[in-house]
Amino acid sequence: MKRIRLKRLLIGMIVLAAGVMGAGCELDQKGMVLFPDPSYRASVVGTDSDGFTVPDGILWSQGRFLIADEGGNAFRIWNGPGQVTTLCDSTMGVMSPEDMAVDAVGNIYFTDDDAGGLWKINNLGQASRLVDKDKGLTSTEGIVLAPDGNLLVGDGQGHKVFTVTPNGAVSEFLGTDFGITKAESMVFDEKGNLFIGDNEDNILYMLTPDKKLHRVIANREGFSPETIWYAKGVLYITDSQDGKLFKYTPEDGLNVLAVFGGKLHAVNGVTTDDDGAIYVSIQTDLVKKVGYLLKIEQEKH
Amino acid sequence: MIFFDPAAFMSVSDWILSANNYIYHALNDLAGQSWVFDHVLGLGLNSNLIKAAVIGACFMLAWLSGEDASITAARRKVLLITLLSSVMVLAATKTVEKYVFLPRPYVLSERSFHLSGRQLVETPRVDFRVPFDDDTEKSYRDLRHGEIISNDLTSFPSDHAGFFFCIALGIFLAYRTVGTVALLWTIFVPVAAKVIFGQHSPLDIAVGAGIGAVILLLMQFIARKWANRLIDPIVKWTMNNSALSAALLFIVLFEVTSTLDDVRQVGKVGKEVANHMLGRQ
Repeated sequence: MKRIRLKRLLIGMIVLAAGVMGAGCELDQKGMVLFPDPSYRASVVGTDSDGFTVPDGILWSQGRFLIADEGGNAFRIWNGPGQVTTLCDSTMGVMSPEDMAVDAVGNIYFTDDDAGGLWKINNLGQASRLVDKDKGLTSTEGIVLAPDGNLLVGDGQGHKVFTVTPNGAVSEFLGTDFGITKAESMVFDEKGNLFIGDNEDNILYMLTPDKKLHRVIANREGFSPETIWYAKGVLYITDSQDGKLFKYTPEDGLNVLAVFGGKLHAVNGVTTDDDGAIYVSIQTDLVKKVGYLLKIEQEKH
Repeated sequence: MIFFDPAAFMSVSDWILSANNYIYHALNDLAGQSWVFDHVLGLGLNSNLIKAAVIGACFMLAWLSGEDASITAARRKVLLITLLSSVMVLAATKTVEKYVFLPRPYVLSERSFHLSGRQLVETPRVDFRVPFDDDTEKSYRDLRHGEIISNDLTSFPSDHAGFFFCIALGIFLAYRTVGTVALLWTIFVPVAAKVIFGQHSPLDIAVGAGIGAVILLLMQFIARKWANRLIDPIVKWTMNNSALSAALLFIVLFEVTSTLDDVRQVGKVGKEVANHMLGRQ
């Protein structure tokens, strides 16, 4: 009798423990996007099972995404799940594609912080290495098309920003005397100011057209600019260290737009589409090649 | 004979989740009603003196008490194993934390979306009554501006509950009367404050406490069966060097009050110094 009661008690405890664990697993959110402003919502546009692996830089261009697929060592055009075109990959020496820019005629340029140099994919889809490492571009990071048609390319090892002409001629644009350690990302506003995100010193710079460098945001706890993107008067800034997406305007200053947690913590690239929806890339796991592309939009009431 | 019935398992799981929500809301509703209550309860969350010093004092009392030397030695043996177990409990709760992502209940009062399979779905918002306690009010204000400390994004299971339950239960095994005080203090002061102030759900606490209890009981069993040759000489040494062992115990209990935060800090610096000496940084 005592033995049967003990057995029942044991089974009851096992069921309860399993129930508690089950409840715990049911509560497991795996990954989270939180909005201080409840008018925003988030959705998954694509994942690593949809034709890319772990995206870094992303750019919305003519209804499709250009993706610097860092985890897949490739540069891809993505039109939706399964609709992917790989333009350039490790067979050509691509290692860790970072950031990209598109010129007026549709040529794509992208950087690579492991392989160095600068890559070009012309508007016919033919890829080539425009600038080699030996020109001083040893670990290329941010890239932006300047109003004069040249490219500005940040280098993390040389602590400089270079000018690269469409023909591949390289010259120094910002030397080490400007004190920028790592120009991780760059973007122009409509007034011709160049914003530079330095995620090593955790500073957002602004270079005015007369080449004066200002520190817009510096020494702020919980701020490390990974990618910056400018659209319709707003500067969007991702922070992969702190798992945040910020929006910055000179009037309102810096505000958190979204907080990312769990598997979605490492938010990297950011871009916007023609309707103003925001897209961000998430690098969940570079080794296991897990990544996401998320859409963030404001609900219209 | 079938022991595992998925339907029964699911219903138990659902029942636990419902109970979890019900208890959380019932307790959180106590917050924000009385300035005095919230400030006094806030001490149980933020003051090491209120949160843990009483448990430390119970431990010390159990350590030094005993009608004769054999009882004192037996109690010290239980308490030494308890200290060892408490470190393992922290390691276990931190490990589980890495696999289950669940923000604190007060964080879930804001609009958020979570992963379900490969999609994002809106998370039901958790009602949160903001207490008058200054620290919690500040955390809530920061949250509304998107400023969240990373520790607030992982609440399952509660490492505090695991750690303090392990210590209090260990004291109880050594000395019933004092252990009862330690257990009641743990439940009604630090643990209750955590739930009332939206820092943890009852399920976080239950699983943390469960881990604490299981590891403690397992360690007591294992140590008694296979580690007597290791522990008995230490106990004997503490009996022969009462003053020195009490001084060492002071250091240990000082750390217990901060859930080993300072030890972790010392360990981190030690690791950095070792790396520096080896030229790794």
